[in-house]
Amino acid sequence: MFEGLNANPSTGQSIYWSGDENWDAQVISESNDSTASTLQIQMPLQDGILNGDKVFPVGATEGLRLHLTLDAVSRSCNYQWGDKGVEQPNGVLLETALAVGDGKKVAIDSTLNIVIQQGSEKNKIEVNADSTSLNTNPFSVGDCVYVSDADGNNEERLGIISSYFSSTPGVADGNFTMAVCRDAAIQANPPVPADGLALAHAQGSFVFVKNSERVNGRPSSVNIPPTLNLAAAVPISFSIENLEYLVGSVSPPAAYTAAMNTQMMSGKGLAMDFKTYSTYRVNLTAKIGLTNQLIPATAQRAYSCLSVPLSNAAQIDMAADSLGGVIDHCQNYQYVHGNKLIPDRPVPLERYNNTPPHIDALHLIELEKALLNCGFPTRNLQRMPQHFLIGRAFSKYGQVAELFGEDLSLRVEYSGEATVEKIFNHYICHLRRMTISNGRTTAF
Amino acid sequence: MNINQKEHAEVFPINPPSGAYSFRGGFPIVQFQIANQNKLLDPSSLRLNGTFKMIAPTLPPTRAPLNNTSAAPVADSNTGININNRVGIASTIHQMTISTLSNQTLETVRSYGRYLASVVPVTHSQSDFDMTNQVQNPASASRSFNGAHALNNEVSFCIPLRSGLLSGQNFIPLGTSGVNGLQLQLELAADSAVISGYETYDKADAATQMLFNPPNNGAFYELADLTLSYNLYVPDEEGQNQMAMPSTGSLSYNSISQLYSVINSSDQTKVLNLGTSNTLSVFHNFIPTNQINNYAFDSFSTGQLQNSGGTQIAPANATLNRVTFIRGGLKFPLEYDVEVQDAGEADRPQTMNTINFINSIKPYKFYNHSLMSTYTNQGIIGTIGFNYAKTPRNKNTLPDPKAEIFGVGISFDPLSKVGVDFRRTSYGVRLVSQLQDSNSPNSIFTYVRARNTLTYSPAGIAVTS
Amino acid sequence: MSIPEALQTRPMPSVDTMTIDTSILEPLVINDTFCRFVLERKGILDSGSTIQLSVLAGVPDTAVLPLHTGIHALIKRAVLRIGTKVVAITDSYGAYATMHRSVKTPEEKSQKDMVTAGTLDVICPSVNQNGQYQLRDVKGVQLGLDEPLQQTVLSNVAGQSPLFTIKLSQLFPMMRNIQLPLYLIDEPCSVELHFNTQKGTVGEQGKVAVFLDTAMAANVKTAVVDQTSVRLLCDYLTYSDDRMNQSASMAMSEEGMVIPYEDVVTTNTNFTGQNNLIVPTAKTEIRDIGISGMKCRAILGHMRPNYVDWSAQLLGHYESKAYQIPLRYQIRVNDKEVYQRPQDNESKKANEFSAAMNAPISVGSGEYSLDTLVNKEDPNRVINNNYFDGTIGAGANPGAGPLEYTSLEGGSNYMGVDFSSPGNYGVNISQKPVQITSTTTNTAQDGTGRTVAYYSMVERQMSIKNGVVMVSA
Repeated sequence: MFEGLNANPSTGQSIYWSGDENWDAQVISESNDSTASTLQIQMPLQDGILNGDKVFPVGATEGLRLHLTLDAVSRSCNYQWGDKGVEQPNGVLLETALAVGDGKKVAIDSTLNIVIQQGSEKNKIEVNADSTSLNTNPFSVGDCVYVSDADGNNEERLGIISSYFSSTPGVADGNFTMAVCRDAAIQANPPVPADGLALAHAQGSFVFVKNSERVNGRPSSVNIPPTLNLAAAVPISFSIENLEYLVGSVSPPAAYTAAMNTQMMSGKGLAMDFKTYSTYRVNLTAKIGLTNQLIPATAQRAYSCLSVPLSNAAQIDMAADSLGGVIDHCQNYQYVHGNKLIPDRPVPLERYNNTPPHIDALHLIELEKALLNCGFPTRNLQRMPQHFLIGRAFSKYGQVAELFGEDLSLRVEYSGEATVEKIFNHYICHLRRMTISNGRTTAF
Repeated sequence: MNINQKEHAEVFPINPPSGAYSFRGGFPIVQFQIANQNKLLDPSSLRLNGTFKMIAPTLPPTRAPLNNTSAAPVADSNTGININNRVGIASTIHQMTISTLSNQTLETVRSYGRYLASVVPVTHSQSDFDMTNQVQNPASASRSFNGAHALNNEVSFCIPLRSGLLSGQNFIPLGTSGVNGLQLQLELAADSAVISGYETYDKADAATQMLFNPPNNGAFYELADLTLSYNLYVPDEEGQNQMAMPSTGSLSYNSISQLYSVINSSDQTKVLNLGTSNTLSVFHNFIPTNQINNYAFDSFSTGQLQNSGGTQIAPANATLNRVTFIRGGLKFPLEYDVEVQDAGEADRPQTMNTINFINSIKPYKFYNHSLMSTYTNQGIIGTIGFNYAKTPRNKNTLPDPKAEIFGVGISFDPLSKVGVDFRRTSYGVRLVSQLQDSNSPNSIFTYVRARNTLTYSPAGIAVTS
Repeated sequence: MSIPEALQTRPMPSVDTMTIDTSILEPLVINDTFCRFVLERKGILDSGSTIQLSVLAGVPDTAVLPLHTGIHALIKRAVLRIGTKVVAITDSYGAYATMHRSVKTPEEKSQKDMVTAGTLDVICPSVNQNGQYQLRDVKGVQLGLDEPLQQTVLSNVAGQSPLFTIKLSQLFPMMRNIQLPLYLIDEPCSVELHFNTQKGTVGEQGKVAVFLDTAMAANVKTAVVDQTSVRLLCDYLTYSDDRMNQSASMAMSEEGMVIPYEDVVTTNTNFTGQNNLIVPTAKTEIRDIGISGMKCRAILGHMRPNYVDWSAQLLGHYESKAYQIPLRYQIRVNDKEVYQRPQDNESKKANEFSAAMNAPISVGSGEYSLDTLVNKEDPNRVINNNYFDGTIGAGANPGAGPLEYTSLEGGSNYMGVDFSSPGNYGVNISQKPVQITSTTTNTAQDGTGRTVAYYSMVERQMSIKNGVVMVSA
């Protein structure tokens, strides 16, 4: 509610966009299309110093500088319906066939109706009639849609969506119908077939948008009305304004401050431990078989290791979840520290590859221990296959373990069906000590 | 002092009526006494037990079960009789006074129901309302229809009394070296404040109010078989002797006090004399004044400020633009204004205000269970089920939509929990909103949580606030 | 003597290095009714060590585990043994675990236990918007008919049924607060599990699995442990030499290391039923709990109805059924009544149970009792206000013989009393046993007797001296 979490994919039920977008009940066009909402976000920074349980002595360190680097829009943003309707393989199915010559334009704003098959499957669009109100439309006004055969052949640009509505206005459960404005000149007088679509497209053809056009916007065209050109030209982005850091401050008694200053100037110094994370990224070159990756962790007071297998391709793809771990036919895993196997046998992961995915209990136990040791009480184990990661707790009950001096590596075995190139993010949770002595600050 | 054993105690009221306790029947006061004894009272174990029944406005009244089963309006005097389901049976308590047997007032909580109307939804989730809270408070429910349905029959209850003193962890010495016994007085709320109807919703979340008909005869409620149960810890012989001898000691506890005011313009600063030396937090909730003690409205609703002309199912919300907290004329503890106009006009969470409000009730870093969501406050379904295919939960399984949990609040001392002195300095809150005209008086219920110290000595008992 | 901090299950005040050796053990002995794990003699056994289990149903895709019990239904009895001595034993484990689960928060039940234990507890307002309730974490097939999520449905193929886990601290109350110093014990330490099996008869239904199809013949509705999936994930903790030596020196001392721990004593009894009644008939029964000479912290009570046919019961054999006219009970300890008057207020009884469990019970009011369902003006207390609405089925045709949600009504009616006080584990029971006087009222709708189990939480002591373990009676 306060940090912008929006789990519901239903169009029209997003905190980021206003407007109910219920095309089953009305025509949605530029005038009543969703507009971006301004959200007021207040979120903690999950950091050992800024979110720890100790007061930080900014007076001792002569202040604190916070440097945030924002991530690329393709990593931080997702389409509400994921990859549905994005690129040809994920297209939705055409209900009403299109013939050669269809869509001739008598005026600059003439449109062609494209009717999509109705249903709850991923390649169809509907508004669920019961009280769930699930609107599965992945398109919006300003999208440029294409059509092709199922095998990708005979691709043809249809046009820019100017509105969408139900095929049976006033009657529930109509087909999703979009009125597209073709990027073509007004028809000749008399009209010729070349003024309309060049190819025929049968029922069941794939209708889709191109990701790059959505992300970057389309250049304007003289054949498209100016307002629609504007809608099509908008690239995807986000803006953060009025950024403020709300800080509470504590003013200790003068005697306390004096004692602290004295200690800082002494040889013994002022020491403060805080929990932090060191990230090691490993590009996995092999996709199948037993993979082995070295984690160059040198922490002397480590809590846990959290290893997230990310898809390389998804890192720059807004249609995919860039931050969620992928399973990709993994079979088992095992950490190795020096010559010690952790656990003593590989932990099975095969069940995650079932349809639908099932959890592997031993993996879940290890992961829960690892997260708890980092200070994250585990509240939700549902949807593990969609938030997949591997974890290991090296200690318990507030104690620490020493990783320094021996190699730490992770072995993950993938079956021959694995296809995704992966990059592993390994987060080592450990204690770091800041010491202020003789007026200088060091951290290790 | 060593504890020897635990005793399970239960007392009856000292003023039993001939029938049941009810506001309609002229028996709105319930008094309990806990005797002076050399034992320690565990305040968190204290419970009010009894049975609760609502009587339909038929003439003559009958004790037949109600008929809160319809999702569509019926011309029926047996349907549409309900109480606020977030507060539950505790909404029958208008005022709670805890005093020693020598009539020294320790704590008075006025408008107790409206206090719980904010505190309980902020600290309990939908499942808590439908499960955890419901076992002991059968009127508790996340959806008003479900709460009404549960109250068709007479029900038994066992509810805690959530005053500051009784929510504390410190045991209360009941002996001569202590409070010398306790007296608890409960003043029942008016029937028209407690009872209203329930709502049902269509697919577009448009609400229909189910209210008993005719309202003029007035439905009413009764409480019967009331007892107060609690645990006593019995010290060893040495401890009991100690408790029997007059001596000096003190007991710290949090107390809740309430103030009432009215706001009637778009830019108004309420200045209040809290009179407390260790003020921990303050929060305010709002309701149009004409909706209090009115069968047609839920007197415990916690919506936004409203302009005139709104109804129970279609409130005329007046967006809150800005809040400023003031102490002695200076901004305190926030050195800035809480600006929430843009988010409010976009009908999105007014985060900055809401987080401060939550923090005034429960520290935000421990905030984990709450009924508050984008669905209860903005009507946007944010949650999905646990199917691997992400589908939102069916609306009918969610709490009442747009039954907002709204308030303004601030915590003064979240770190050391000592509190701030407002004995000789006034507290102020400036509310800038979109209240449009002077015909829209909104009542502000202000609740102050402060640290009190009870000092007992051979000379008597003193309470320092 | 206080327990060394290395053996306690909470964060230690000072930070030092440690190591954890994790072993995945297969059972030394396993069959359909029994398995034994033998632990290594190293380190300290962490109480978070976990057993992985799975159940094979006779027919695939139609059965789930008893809704409020989950995988705990598979365990009949759990024994912790050191050498030949029984250190801890938990009998009638399924009902005990069901009561313990009832005080978990709804979020933990739904978001964690549904995955780790296969339960289905959380309720929500009905999709029919009629003021009643239904299960929340299910899939709607059509109005009034749901089916369970795939991740909780059992298979009949070894290796394909969902995997669930039970922690040692759940099996044995002793391991909630202390950990076993295996490196100080000479004799081998073993964990024995006695499994329940479910035969294909109507009386056995719901003992391990609940088949969501009443139209299916009973003889195929069997359930048994999947032997290929049983594992113990064991964590052996090793701290710094100082910490380990501190515990070792205590064990080698003259007095030895004395560790108090909590155990559970089960007393089985019954309440008689009466059928063919015209008017409600009350009966008072007095039961003794034989824990004389022990220190008792709390007593929990579970009342299983004596149904002949369990096919339609979603809670299985772990249902503790409420009476239409509330059960009234009084408890005498050391010849003194605990309550000033017998308890019959259902909400207050729930409060007493919550106090015994140290956490509020988290079930719907209509699940705990029939209080909101019955008309108090009717002397027969007929149910006139059902709490639940809808059905749940599974398989290729979920609508063939779905089970009614109304079978959950009044099925979580537990009793409890707490004797603990600050600084005291509980009350010392003298020579006279604890006496529970219960007045049950049978009606025309409910004349079924109850099989009652009382679980008494008592304190025992274990001493470790020179590698030898002794356990108090």
